[in-house]
Amino acid sequence: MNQLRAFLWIACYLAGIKTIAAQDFTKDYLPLHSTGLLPPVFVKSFSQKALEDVGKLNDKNHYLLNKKKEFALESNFHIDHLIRSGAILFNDSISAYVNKVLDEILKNDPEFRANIQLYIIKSPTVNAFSFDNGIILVNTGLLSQLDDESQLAFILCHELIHYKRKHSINAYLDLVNVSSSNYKKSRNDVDALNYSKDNETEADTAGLELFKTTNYDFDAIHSAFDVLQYSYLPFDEQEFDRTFLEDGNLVFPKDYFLEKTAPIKSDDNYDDSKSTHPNIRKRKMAVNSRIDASYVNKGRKKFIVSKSLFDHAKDIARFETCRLYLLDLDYPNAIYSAYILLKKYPDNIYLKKIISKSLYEVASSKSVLHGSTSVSNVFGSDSKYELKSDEDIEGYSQQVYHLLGKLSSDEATVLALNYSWKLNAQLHYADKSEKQICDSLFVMLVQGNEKKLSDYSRKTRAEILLEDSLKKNPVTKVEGPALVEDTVKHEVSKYDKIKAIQKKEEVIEIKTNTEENFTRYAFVDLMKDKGFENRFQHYLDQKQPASGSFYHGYYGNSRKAMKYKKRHGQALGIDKVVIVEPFFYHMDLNENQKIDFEATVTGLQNFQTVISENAAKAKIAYVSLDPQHMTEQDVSSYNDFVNTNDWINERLMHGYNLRALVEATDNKEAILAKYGTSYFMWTGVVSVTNKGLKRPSTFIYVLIYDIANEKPVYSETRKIRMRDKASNLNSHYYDIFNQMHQEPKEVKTITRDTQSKDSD
Amino acid sequence: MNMTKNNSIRFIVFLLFLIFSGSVGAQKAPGYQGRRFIAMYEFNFHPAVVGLGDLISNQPISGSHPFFLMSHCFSLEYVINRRALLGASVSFFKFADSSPGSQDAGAQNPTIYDYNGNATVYSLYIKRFRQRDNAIAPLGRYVKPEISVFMYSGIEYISAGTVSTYNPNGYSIITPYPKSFQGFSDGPRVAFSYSIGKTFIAFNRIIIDRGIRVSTTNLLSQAFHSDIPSIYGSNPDPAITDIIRNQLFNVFIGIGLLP
Repeated sequence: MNQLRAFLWIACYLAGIKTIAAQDFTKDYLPLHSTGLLPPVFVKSFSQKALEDVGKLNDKNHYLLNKKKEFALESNFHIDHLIRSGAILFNDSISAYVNKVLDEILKNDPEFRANIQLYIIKSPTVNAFSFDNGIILVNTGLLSQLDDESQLAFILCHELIHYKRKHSINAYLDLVNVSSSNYKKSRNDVDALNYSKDNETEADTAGLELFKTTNYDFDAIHSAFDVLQYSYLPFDEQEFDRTFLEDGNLVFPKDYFLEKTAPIKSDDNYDDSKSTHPNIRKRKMAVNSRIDASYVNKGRKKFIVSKSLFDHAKDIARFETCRLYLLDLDYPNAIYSAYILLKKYPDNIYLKKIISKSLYEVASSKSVLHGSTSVSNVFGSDSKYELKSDEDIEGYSQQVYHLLGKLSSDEATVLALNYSWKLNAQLHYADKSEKQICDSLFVMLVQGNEKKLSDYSRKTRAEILLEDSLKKNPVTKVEGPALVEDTVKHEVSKYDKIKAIQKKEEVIEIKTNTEENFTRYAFVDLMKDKGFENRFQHYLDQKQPASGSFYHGYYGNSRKAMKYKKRHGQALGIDKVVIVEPFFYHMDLNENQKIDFEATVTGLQNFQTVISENAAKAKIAYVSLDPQHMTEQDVSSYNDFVNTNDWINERLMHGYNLRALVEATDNKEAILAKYGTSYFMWTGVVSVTNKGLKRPSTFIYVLIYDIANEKPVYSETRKIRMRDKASNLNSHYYDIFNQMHQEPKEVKTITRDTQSKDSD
Repeated sequence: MNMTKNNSIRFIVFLLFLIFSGSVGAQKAPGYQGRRFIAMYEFNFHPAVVGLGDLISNQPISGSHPFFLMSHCFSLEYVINRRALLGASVSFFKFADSSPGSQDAGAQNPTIYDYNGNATVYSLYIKRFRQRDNAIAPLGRYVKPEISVFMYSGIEYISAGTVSTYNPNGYSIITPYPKSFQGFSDGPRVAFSYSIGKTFIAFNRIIIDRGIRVSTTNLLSQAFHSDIPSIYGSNPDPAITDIIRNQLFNVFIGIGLLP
């Protein structure tokens, strides 16, 4: 069995390497996903892991032992939570490469290496961190900003020291000041922060010693700090070319585009009094003081594992960063990052799609049709998405923020439609999501902005100018931009040249003028495409009052309907549902430790029983997508779990904007087909006990989405003034499942056709 | 309707039969996990909230007083939707009371009477579970409007060994009071009650119910205010008034079975 497992691990590793070679960025990009077998830390439950860690603890001091147990519980709980967020990758192409770098660092210490598990976490922020049990996580955001492998090696050395010196648990114990004299005296926040800073300095200096044992370039020591200092900026600084989003006919007014951006003011000597880390200058100085003449750079390398693998991993990290910006609704950064990558891979469809979706979402957020729904958003924010102001942005990305901020609803919609339709045409009108974007933009233009075909010119501004000139002076031959070019190229008289140059300047002046309705000429090229005009006309013909939402309640909102709903609930007619990672938290507000970990573990087990029992009683078939119930072989299910979580997280971040499209939509058909239902349910219980409260309160969260139609079908937060006992949960979950199972009234209505068939 | 004790037992058996036969075929939503029927037993305390003080101050005697009335109630409940259930119950009031016979013996030399009352009350009610608390029937906080019909009374008015005579040196029990009757029939009488309560569940089968009830008080009034005094040719006994007042409030605790 162990041999088989070893074989599978090797196969997975090779699969990871193969994936690196398989990605061809010149055409497209496939988002990262995990492969191979699920690592043990993913399949073991929090309680199992905590028990294992607690079993290893040993201390004669009873108080200290208890504190260590507390730490083991808390630490494992947070790791478990992180794993179940779906953000951590394993056996993917980047992990394979970063693990190789780690192998290189620890090649002389295989025993230590065996204790380390390194994973990549999908996050655009620049960070890496280690846990007390040997898990080190490296963000894709960090990888996207590195210049070379030696910088990565230095950062890994820093994290290895955190683990080696047990900084996490020591910091925890320091918080309770475990001195023999007074155990209960807690340290104040400033002491705790100083302790954390000391740990960081130790990780830097001792990490330097570890780094010295490798053959990596010493220059990385300083340049790695530069990476951290400028980590708040996008992964590259390149001027944003205004013509990137313009064409000959769609030209932004002058004030829409910043010629001069805010300078980058990053100071390495910032106030770190409230930070867990010393400022960059102090860190550099601490490291510098340890660098002496023995640090000879000769023979040391920036790349040991592979430059090509590093570049490839960095590119993947950058693609992922673009994607993550999109998922986090950071559209200006998504557009700017994709723009930078498009310079390297100009034909990459994935990046163009990111820009198309970002432009669409910006237009959608500005539209009057920005959706509202009667379904409350139980997990996500209810606030309307608003673009961040460009005032505090430094560097060239400020140009994108400024441009998007300047656009009105109409202008943003036109710009998005202009870009998306061209991409749609490039994809031969076969891409479902691009088609959906274009259709929705037409709706916004027609219903939200009340635009007609006649609002857009079929001729270029220059052509209209030429026609006007001809009318005024029919004898004179007037030339448009193309003609001007021709005139310049061909042999013509001096005076003709002068006239042509004057005309050209006039056209340039027209192109960059500040006329308000610059969108009038935006569709000149697109109007030549019959499909575009037909589609526009189609939505004009279908014009209806704006509904403001894709969602329609099953019973409507009449008083009678609401009364019926109150008594009988909803009737959703669902037979099968996928329940994604049901959660349970027991909060004990009497203690400093807000989550009662032991009660949470027990409660989660009971909760899972409650779900299975009541789903069966209400005749709901369900599939659980929960890493805790997966085996090593269930990596496909794990990826489905990650994808559905990404989908719902993005969906919920859009708040009430049901017009928003979800990035993770691309692979939904495969997931829906696999599970045989389009209904996905996110649910959980949070139980709160507090002496100050008269009664304990239990909160039940339920959200059911029809993913195929991107429609929320059930969304509710129930506050019940009862304990989280199984019987109470049974009552509510049976009620919920029962509402799901009941057939909608409309379905029961016998139609005339049915009656005639029956009589036959 | 004139129902004897035997009939009452038959009625209860019939209810239980309904519960078990109905529940087999009707295990459908709503209800607790689809169980819609509940067979319930309730025990009622009727604390004496008024009247006792008067009794003691006017008549400085010891002995039993109408301090507690107790009643037993059997009910069958049926969950009609996720917020409400419908119930039918039969209650058996039992009470005992000693009180001074002020009219017969006067303040200086009172006679103590004992009453043993039995009454059967049939009720229909709806329990509405509070939406504000997100209570799903049959669990959680509820309000219960109830209409009750006092169908039959089996009131015993006896005096066995309880006649005493008061003198300045104390009490002296002398002889049983000669008059003793039972079986007053009061005919149908309607009362209204309103309860608030809360239910819990244990072992997925057992329902625990507790609450407080307030009622209109005319169920026993006819028998005690008119019938009995008319036999004795006396005015209504103050203790009887207390009994009646005791009906105004009661607290109850019940235990039910989800078949």
